[in-house]
Amino acid sequence: MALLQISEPGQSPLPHERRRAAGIDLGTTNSLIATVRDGHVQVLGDAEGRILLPSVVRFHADGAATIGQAAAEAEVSDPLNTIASVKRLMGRGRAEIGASPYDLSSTDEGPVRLRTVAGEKTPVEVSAHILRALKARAEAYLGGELSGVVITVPAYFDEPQRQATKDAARLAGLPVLRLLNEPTAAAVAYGLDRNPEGLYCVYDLGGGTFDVSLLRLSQGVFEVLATGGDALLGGDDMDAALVRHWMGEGARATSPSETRQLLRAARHARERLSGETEIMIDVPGVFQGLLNRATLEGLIDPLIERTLAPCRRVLKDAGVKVADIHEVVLVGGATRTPRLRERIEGFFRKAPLHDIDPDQVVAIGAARQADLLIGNAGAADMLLLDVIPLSLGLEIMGGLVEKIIPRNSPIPASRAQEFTTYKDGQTALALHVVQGERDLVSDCRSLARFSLRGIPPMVAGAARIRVTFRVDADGLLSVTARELTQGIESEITVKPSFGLSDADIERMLGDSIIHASDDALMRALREQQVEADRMIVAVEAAMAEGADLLMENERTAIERQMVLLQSVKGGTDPQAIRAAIVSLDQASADFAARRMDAGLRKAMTGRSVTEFS
Amino acid sequence: MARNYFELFGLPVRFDIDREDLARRHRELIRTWHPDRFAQGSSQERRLAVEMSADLNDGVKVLRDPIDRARYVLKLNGVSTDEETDTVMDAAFLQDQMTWRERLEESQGDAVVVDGLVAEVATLRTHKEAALSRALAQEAGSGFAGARQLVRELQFLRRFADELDDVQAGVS
Repeated sequence: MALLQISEPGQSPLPHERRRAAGIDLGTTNSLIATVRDGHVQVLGDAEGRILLPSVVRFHADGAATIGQAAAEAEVSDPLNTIASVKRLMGRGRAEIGASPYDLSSTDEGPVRLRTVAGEKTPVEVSAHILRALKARAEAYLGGELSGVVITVPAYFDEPQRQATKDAARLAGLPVLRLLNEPTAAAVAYGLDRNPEGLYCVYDLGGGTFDVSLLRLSQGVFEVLATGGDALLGGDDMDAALVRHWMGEGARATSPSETRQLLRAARHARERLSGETEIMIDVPGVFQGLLNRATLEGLIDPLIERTLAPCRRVLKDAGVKVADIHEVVLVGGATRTPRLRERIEGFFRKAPLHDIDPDQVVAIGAARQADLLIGNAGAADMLLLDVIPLSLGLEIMGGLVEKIIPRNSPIPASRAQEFTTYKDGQTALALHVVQGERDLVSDCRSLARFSLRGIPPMVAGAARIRVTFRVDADGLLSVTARELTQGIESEITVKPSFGLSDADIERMLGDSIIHASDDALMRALREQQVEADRMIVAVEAAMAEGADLLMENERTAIERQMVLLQSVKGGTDPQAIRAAIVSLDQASADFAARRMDAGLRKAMTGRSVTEFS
Repeated sequence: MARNYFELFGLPVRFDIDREDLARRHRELIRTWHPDRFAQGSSQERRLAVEMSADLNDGVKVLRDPIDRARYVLKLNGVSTDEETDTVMDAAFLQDQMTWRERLEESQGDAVVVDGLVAEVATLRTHKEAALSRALAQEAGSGFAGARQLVRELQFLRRFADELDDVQAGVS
């Protein structure tokens, strides 16, 4: 599709042209995949029809991996090689993780690594195994390779966690159309069938994370006004509180297996205890006793209370009152707890909606969005406008943070700020990019460090250095720094301190046993060929339509690069195709930008105000 | 590629703005230029769409807010508000500020007093914004001294209003 050639509503592609797309909920406890077929969302199960894939991966000495239910069954017998809840480790360094049931490598460099019989594994590699299992489900169901997926992440995920999720998809050979925030996905699942208008609050309590988002829905636009949460609070914490209580009452859990049984009993208890005032807990040989409502409430209320603080903050950030909210939507398995529903209703003074299965609602929304982005949904005039969950900033003198893009800014976002040197003759400037709400650098998450060098020597305060932050629609950041008097530029796409380098990923792709059968080079070649075709179509269309904006020398340069790309794209070297794409991109970038501005002016002139309503 | 935010939304460079009209224009444009509309486009189109959407989002933020919008009009006229270095304020304005702060402290969060202060500050902000609009329209030839002063005063008033907000949230 060329710029300005946006397909008209109602022009949905013919069935045989439909491309395979899916939505993936990569959860802490369970993962799911869903796809749209004939306009209906299908959540896909395994051969036995089980929809939830436990997010558990077991590594074997021969390098093979077992994923899902079979792996979960080995959690007790083979605890160090069976990795569960890996989502909690995504985008984290060793020092950021406290006690862990796994054998973590002691190195502080890069992402945390888990030692297994199959060697050291990063959380990205573990997640890639889960994604491959889901991919296989979808490809079996759809009868061919997936062209694109939408993967959901907690809205409160920071930059390194998002990047790690995207890296895992790359490793699994999944083309990512978009990372989508889980509450936004849930809103899509609820919204599309009802065509609602007004303010929606999505309360999402999963096994390990809590998110709350406030959205305004209007004419197919899902606009997130504010989001908040707690990346380390989930239903698991409620179960742990109950188990601690039982241990105090004489429960004896001497093995991991017994602890697991107690945790399971805790979850059942909090989901059951509503109508009844008292239930019997019986874990043979471990614990037997009565649990009454008051005790349960005493244990879980403080945790529920902790979810209400982000709810209040989100309301305040959006400048919205409880009474303004149209509906409250519950997402996540932990919201099955009757006490929690009671407290939510009390807080929002409204009974929350939970008629779509809280375990499936996120994957359903993601599948809808994937179908739209891949170009199958045609007529659905839906647009999701999301925000960044946490402020992005730079370290300034005194260990303080200067916020460049505040939390809840709509994305894509771009903000520039000027800085100067503080010493006479200073020729380099070290930049430290951080994320978080606190004023001190030490209280925020460090994202990346880089330097701008070659600043001409000047007196302190004379240099003008513009630092630009850009956040794309996935919430991923790139930072550029430019010295304005001389034009010296330094650019990085933030590869977080605890992320994988491109070289790491290439190596993993090469190493991976799973990929021995599945030629990574062929895939790379195909990707570049697809991109080459898109580029040629777009530039040709632009040249045909925007000839008046094209200068003669520009036309010559673009045509030369076009011929070059045409000639290499049929070859077998992905690098050569990539290089030709980049050259054509450079030759045509100014022209494309001019066309865009012309299109914008055309859209905005000659129209009366009333036409915008 | 620095776009002029007023031009971006097809508006004249003028302080007075219809915020609802601006919101409608933003929505219309972001519907067209959001990167999701180019998910199947070339990487160049996706990159340009990200840049355009980022400008639209930043532009609407700047133009929606009266203080940011005034600073932006001044910047387009080559005038900086120099708020970090130029801190000279009108004596009477500072006196009013101190009186308000004393009243706030003495109130100890009393709702009637705080509500009264909120109303006073709101009224003054409305007056100052109207004055700022006039200054920006009339001072083009004379360096915008009055407009710069008004921007700084409005910034003061906004901070105080935010503090009052916090106090109100605490008492209610």
